[in-house]
Amino acid sequence: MNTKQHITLSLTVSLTAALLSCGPAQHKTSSQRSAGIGPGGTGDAASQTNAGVSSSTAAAAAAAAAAADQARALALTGCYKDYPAAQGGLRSLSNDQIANVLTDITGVDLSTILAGLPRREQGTKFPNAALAGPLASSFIDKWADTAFSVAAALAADTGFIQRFGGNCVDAANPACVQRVIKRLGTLLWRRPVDPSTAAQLADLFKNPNVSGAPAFALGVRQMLEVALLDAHFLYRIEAVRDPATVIQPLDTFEVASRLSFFIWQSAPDLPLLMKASSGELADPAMIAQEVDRLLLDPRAERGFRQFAFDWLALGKLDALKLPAATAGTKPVSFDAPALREQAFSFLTANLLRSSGSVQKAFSSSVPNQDPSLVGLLALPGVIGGLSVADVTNPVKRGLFVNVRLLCHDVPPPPPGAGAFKAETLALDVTPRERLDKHLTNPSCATCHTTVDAIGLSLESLDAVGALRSQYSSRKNIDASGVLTFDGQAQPFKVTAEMLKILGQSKDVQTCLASTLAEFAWGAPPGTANTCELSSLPQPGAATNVNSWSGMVRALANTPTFLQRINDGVKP
Amino acid sequence: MKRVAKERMVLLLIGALCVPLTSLMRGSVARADNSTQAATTVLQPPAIRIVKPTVAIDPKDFDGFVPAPVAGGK
Amino acid sequence: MSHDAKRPSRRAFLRGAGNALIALPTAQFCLGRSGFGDVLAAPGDPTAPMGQRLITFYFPNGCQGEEWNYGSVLTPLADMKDKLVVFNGIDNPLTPASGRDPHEQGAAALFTGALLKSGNHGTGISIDQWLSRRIDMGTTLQKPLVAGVWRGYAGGEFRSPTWFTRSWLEDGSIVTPTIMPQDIFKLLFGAGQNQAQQTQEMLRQKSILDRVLAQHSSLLGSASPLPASHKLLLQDYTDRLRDVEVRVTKFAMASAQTCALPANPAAFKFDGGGLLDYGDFDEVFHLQMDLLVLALQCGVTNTGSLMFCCAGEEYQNPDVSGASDHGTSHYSDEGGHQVYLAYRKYHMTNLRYLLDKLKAANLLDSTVVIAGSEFGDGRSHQVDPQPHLIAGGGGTLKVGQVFDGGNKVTNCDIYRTVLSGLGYQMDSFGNKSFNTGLIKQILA
Repeated sequence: MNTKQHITLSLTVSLTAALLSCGPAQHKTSSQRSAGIGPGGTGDAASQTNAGVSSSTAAAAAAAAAAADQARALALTGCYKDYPAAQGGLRSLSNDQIANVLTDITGVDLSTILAGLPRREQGTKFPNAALAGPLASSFIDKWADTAFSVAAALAADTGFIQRFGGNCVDAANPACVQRVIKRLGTLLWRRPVDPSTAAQLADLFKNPNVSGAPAFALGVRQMLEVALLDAHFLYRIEAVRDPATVIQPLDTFEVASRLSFFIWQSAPDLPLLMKASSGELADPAMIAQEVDRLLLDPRAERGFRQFAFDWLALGKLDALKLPAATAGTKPVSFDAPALREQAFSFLTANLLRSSGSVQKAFSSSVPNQDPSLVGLLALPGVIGGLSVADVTNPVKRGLFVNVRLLCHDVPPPPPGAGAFKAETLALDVTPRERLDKHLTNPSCATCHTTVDAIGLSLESLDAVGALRSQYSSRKNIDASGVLTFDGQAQPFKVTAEMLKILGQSKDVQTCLASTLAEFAWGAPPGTANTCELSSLPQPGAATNVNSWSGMVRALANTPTFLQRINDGVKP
Repeated sequence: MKRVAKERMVLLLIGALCVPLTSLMRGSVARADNSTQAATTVLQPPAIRIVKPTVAIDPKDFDGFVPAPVAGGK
Repeated sequence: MSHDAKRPSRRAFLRGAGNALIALPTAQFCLGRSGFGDVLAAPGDPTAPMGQRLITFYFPNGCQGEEWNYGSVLTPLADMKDKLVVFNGIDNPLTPASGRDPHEQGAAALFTGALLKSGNHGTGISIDQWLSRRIDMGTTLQKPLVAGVWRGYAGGEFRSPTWFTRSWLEDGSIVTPTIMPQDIFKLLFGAGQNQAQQTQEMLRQKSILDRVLAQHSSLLGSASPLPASHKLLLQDYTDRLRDVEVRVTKFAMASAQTCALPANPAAFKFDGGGLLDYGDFDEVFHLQMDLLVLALQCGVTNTGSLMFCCAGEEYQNPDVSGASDHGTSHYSDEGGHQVYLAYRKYHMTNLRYLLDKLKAANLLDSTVVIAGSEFGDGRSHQVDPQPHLIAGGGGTLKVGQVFDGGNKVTNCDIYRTVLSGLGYQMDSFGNKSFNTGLIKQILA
């Protein structure tokens, strides 16, 4: 072979080799490198496109634009076009989440300090969606105050210093300082601390201007103050990596936070953060594994309780005030925390674990309750609070069931409809007689046939859920009615029958699934991605998604949960 | 000696070209992938993408770190 | 970022003629900002006259027009009538225009003359916020003291913040009231330690806040990986933190107070967090009124907003009745009616308390107190007349009269007229189309 042939052969061989070895990577999930968005670092939005060659050529630019259009078009097909728009929002932590994160990370009881945080009721079913709004200045004033107090309390706790400082609590030792900064920053901000930020934070351990305080503890205190006041603590921040596309990938740390805040109502723990750090969490199989681990952790029960508390508005019990016993009347005992705890126990036993189910939640017997009344509506902790003082309100109750358990969208009454004021009810008129007007007036009847049928049947349960057959006026309670599900009219004579019909309806199952989806996706009520929901395994007696745990597993695996919308781009 | 050096140079040159060439290839193959996807899978959304981070947690920072004990469900 | 370079200019900004003082100094994009520019005084205008004070006072569930007089619910104020202007026949066109709940919109129109937007936003600044921008006396709290009590629970749900907001910023964002007296105390007087310790601690806190604000630049600048809507929210958070930093700086720089700090800060500590009991409303609200008057006395602030209950609150005071405020506003018999009136009178005794305190501190004549509620007759949520009352007058209003607006004069007109009396001329206040003109009869 002469030189020319040699060269030709070499060229051919090496070109072929080049094509084979430098060819397109076969990734199951296409991976792009992203920089951290920790404090001091900037997101690397530029390192995106697969066309690694410089885009200065017109062809490359046109191709990139075409790819973006294509991505946008693809995004609008299938269930992606039903993505709830609010799901892409920035979220602040709720007061409960703040408390959970601090308790989990520090192990110190900060409840007294945190109790001073102002309430942030937002008038929505779940705080999730509302946490996407701006924070009131009165809250931030108090938050700043709280952050300084928490930092002082933690820095004064020797156990805390020992845990985070370890055997290295010397403020003059740069390695010790960097380590404690990284430990606190990583856990409180839920991602690694950008190296340049960590270097700057070392200043907090130098030249303390508070004389007499041990330098390391003061440094820790100041680091905590910075960590808590920085937006990366109070907010769950998710970066835009692909500015042109509608559907955005998350990075593994963002996925870790979504998982832990959904299942635990708290920050990811160190094992979860390490799986994110190594990149393992980009693999759906690893995500499923972590979901299982999170569900088995005691913190899952806390997350479930938060869901139950919000779903069934169990906070309303605190607003219920029963009149003190007066002469001649039966005293009404009411212990809101105990009844709430009873409701939690019931729901945990019947709904949380994989052995639980929606059916069980609606059919299991309730302790200290008449045996004919079963399911969660028979819990005093659930039915209580839907009254004003000791006078039950059938409209409120009917509305509660319709909105929260059946996911029926009940519009407000027309203006001038008047209000059902239980306290001003004439004593000799039963609620059923008084509400008859709802059924004769067609503009009322559309909603009120279902609302009142349920509410009036629940009149058998007094303000604290005890079974009764008569009002205090000695008039009998008529708990009969008709419910229509799937076009089928189902009459009932007593409350127990009504509860059974309700519990067995498909509506109640699908409602719980979409309610949990809203909770998981942070979407306002009624805006769940119904397309994606219907593609999930449906809750049902024979499925493994019938319990809360089962539904959580299914939801944590959906594109709606593991990705987000770039709300800067209009589809 | 000279011949070997020449061949080596040629191979080196080819190697040097490999990087931008194959990036172009990757890009064009990727685009080709997209277009085949577009033709046959309009109704199937793209696979879930999750991005791996560039800044990692240094495990040495947590050497000997004992996390706070988990509080049981309240 | 060099903090030293920032400090002198900020100090000069704060101590100078701060007519253009804005609480969101770097916000180029505000949440839903709308049409504020024409109302703001231009830089270089003369400083607002000293001694202008304004307080807004809210009570819930309205009052019927025929009872808004000294013979009925205003009896507790009757012997002060020469210091008051009672407004009958005031039209509120905003509630029908918005289509939202009359409790919610009626209360939101109070002191703003503006409509609610969708969600939790209004579209107009409230009169207390408006005035606070024009008065810079080097006060520590460079904005109104916004205080109130509420539970905000009704019908199985908690109310959204539009129901318990009475102080609004020009971009429509809400300023929810601070409840706990000890929190208010801290806002006004800092930690109350000795001055040297306070200065040292405040300087330390200031440097921490400065560092955090600098760290946010990566989230807010052009290289930020966040979409515009997220940057807006974080900018808002950052600006609020900057407000805290400004206040902390002022505490650090403050010289001796012009009046004595309360000797017993512990008297203002109220135990109990979370949901305030109705039974505690009275005590907490009185502590809030005490603190507000104290703050005015010490020149810590010049403006305040007091809110007793959220709109439509089911408030219950056992000294008044076992029935609730909102419940009896829907009375169906004379018994219920009397309870409803008794609740109005109770609210007026609270107002009386405030006025007496102001008088004892020699501040009543130089303060404008505007009191009001969401609508007229609670039974039908009758929008008009919207009850209003002015006390004090600041020396610029003709007090000692009862004014009847004939259901033509609007709430916007009242707020515009008040500001006109204080020397601020403008074409309208709040929603332009609902201004009918200055109320010349009440201008001195």
